[in-house]
Amino acid sequence: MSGFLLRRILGVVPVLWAVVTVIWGILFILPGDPAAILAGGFRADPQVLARIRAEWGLDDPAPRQYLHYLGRLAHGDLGVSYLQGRPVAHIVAEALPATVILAVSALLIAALAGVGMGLVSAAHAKRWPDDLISFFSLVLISLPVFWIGMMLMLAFASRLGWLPALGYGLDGPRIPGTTIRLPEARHLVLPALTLALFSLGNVQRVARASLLDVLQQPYILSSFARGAAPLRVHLRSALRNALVPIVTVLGIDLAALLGGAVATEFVFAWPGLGKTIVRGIADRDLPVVEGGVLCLCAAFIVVNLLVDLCYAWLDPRIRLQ
Amino acid sequence: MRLRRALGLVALVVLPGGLCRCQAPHADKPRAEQVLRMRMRENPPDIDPASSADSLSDRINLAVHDGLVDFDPVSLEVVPAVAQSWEYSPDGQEITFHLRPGVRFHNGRVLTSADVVYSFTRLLDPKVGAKRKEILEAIRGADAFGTGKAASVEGIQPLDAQTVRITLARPLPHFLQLLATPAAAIVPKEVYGDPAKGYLAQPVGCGPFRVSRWERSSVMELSAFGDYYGGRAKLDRIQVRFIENPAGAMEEYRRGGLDYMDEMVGSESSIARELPQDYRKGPMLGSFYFGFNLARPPFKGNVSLRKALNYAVDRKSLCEQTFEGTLTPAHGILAPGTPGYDPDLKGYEYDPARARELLAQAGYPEGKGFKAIDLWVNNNQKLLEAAQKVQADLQAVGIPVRVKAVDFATFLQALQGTPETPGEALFYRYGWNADYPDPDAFLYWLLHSRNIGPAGNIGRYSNPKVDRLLDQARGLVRMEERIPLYREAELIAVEEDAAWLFLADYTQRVLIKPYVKGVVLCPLGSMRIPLDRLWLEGGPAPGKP
Repeated sequence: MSGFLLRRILGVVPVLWAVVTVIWGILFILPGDPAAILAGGFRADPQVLARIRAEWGLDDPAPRQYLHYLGRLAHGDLGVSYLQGRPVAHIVAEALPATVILAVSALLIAALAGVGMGLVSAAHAKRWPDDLISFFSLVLISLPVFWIGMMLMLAFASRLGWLPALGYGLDGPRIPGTTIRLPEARHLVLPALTLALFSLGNVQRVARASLLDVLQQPYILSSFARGAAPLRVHLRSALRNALVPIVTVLGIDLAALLGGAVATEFVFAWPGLGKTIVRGIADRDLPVVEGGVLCLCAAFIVVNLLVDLCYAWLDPRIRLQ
Repeated sequence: MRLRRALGLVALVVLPGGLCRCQAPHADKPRAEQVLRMRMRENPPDIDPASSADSLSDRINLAVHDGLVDFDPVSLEVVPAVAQSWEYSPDGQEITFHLRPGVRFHNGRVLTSADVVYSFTRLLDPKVGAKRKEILEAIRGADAFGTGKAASVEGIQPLDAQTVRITLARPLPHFLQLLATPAAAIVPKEVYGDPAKGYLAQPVGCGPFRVSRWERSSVMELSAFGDYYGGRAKLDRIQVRFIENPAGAMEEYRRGGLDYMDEMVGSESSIARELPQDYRKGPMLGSFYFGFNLARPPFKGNVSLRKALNYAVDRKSLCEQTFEGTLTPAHGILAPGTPGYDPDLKGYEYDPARARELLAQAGYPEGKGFKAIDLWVNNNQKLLEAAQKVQADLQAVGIPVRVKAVDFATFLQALQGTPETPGEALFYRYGWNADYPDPDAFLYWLLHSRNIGPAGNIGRYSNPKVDRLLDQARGLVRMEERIPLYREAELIAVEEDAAWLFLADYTQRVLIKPYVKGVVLCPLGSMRIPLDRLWLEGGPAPGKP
């Protein structure tokens, strides 16, 4: 187990290096001069432009810029935002909690609803409840998040007035000992639901397929033959053994939700990391983009590691080697 | 029954037209708590008045900071602010400012002439890298200080704690106007001298509001400053919510979560019909045009071609149909309301036949031999529609144009180039808003060859006669003597040189709830709506955002 963990952690280093290099390379070849944005847009003093380029090393040859960037990262320094003049680590630390809260809430909704729907589908396989749920899942998978978000906002905020349309709320509690403020629950509902619908369909389809597979196993058939209650068989015997593929999908989805919350954050003015990165791209605030994407990649890797560890816990036949 | 309810809910979700605008009946009495909720597209990127150069930061800076003087939002005349009075020397090169007694910064300290000297010196300090340092460059000794040849700026002298004298190296008739721009704010040294730049998180000024809360990407709260020299603002607080999604912001406004916003999404004529009491429109000193790169073919040295394009475009239809009347057709460079605006300037009427003639004179009869060029626009639906409309008009006379929509950073890079090297874009959309109400704010920056490149003259227009007229006008004090010079320069650039494709003048449009009183639209832009003069009367109780 410890050997497995050590190998995985060591394996992260080349992955992160590759990620960092790809991010840096893409941003480097991106058209658009950060100095022109920083110097004031349409009207910029040429002296100020030159000073900004020199100050941020934007005139340096590409290899020097790249090595300088790697050197900073090796010292744990994500750099300073061109635009805000603040350390990127602070900017990422401010925005990341909102994204994590949103993604985890969405995942919980998707997991509970998706597995529940998968159970009902599997229990009524090839009958109308299964068809209805499968159709509904397909619709959810097909709909763009942006559209779902706007429609939910129009219905539940504008029309019915049950929930706030936008934002994080102003009066959420702070986590003691930190500067992190939690969102107000009513503000979380619509964004979390929007994001959950994005992965709910996937979870339902995988849960259904996995459960159908398990439900064909002899030990399940013998449980039914012994007269065990169907609900008990589904929940206690089948579900646990069907969880490995479901956990895989949830793990991948969590990582995707962390990175893919951009549209939802944009629609609902959610102050998360996705929105920060997109803004950074528009403003060519390269250190913010690099730091933010790096952080999301690291989260992706950690989530994958946790999923691998979960396998052994869920199915003792799987050994981590 | 359940099915019907479910269907009803689905209908609500699917049919976006089913919107309601629930508002409590207005009761015309001032509210107990005066909180204005406004939207900004995003976080103000840089709230150091010396280094900011964007409208979002300026909006906050104008609420937090004050300068020696300010603009009257209606007449645009320069009015006292931190300075209660001033007098000019007979040659117009020395201005002595008398500071208002008892002006306090938000940290409680009394403002003195030393703060004026510090703030102006800081703006000129090359280490600070101020983006608008040109507003003080006419001060004597500014150049020597900027190049490190002097330790201080000779022309900024405190006479006593309440008096400061500014000496100009040369007369600059609009110098007072420049001092009313946000960059000329007076800031306290003990805060803005901080090498850790704590002021970027907690700015301190002497303006009517102080920043009391700032959660980046979420909300900023400005609270009325009790010791404001102009009297405490009527609003207790201003909640500035950062909402990037304009459609979401519109919905929030409709449902009553916002009181004020200055960016609308969708058809503006529909919004004006839907919210007639909220929709306000006013003039703006701003110009919208499509620029030519005059340093490169095909526009370089080909006046007939440039004129042909000007005759080929139907401005009236562009303004009335594409922009739904939110822009007005332009005949020249100066926007109506700018001193020196010439209502008799003919400009170019829509005349496709004349355009074809000129195109032939330009060497492209019926467009033959004209190689299609890109028309660059930054990603924006309205701009894209405008570009497509111009593309169609030009195509009709035989000028092939491809619309190239890119993000703003790419767009800017393609346009600007350097003072020595022209940018890549040959034909591009451009816009210019005046920072101060003077013809110089348009003509000097857009036409003078001294400003070729990123400084403003992106089209690289150069005409020695126009340069001379602009320099001459800058050296005169009396507006009535300056105006003929500016008019002549404008006439040359428009009718002789066809410096760019003249299109339209901006207007400003905002949505403000009818219960917000004291609203004045300033032609210098919505960021200059004086927030300290607003109050709320009646209307729905402030709900949670």
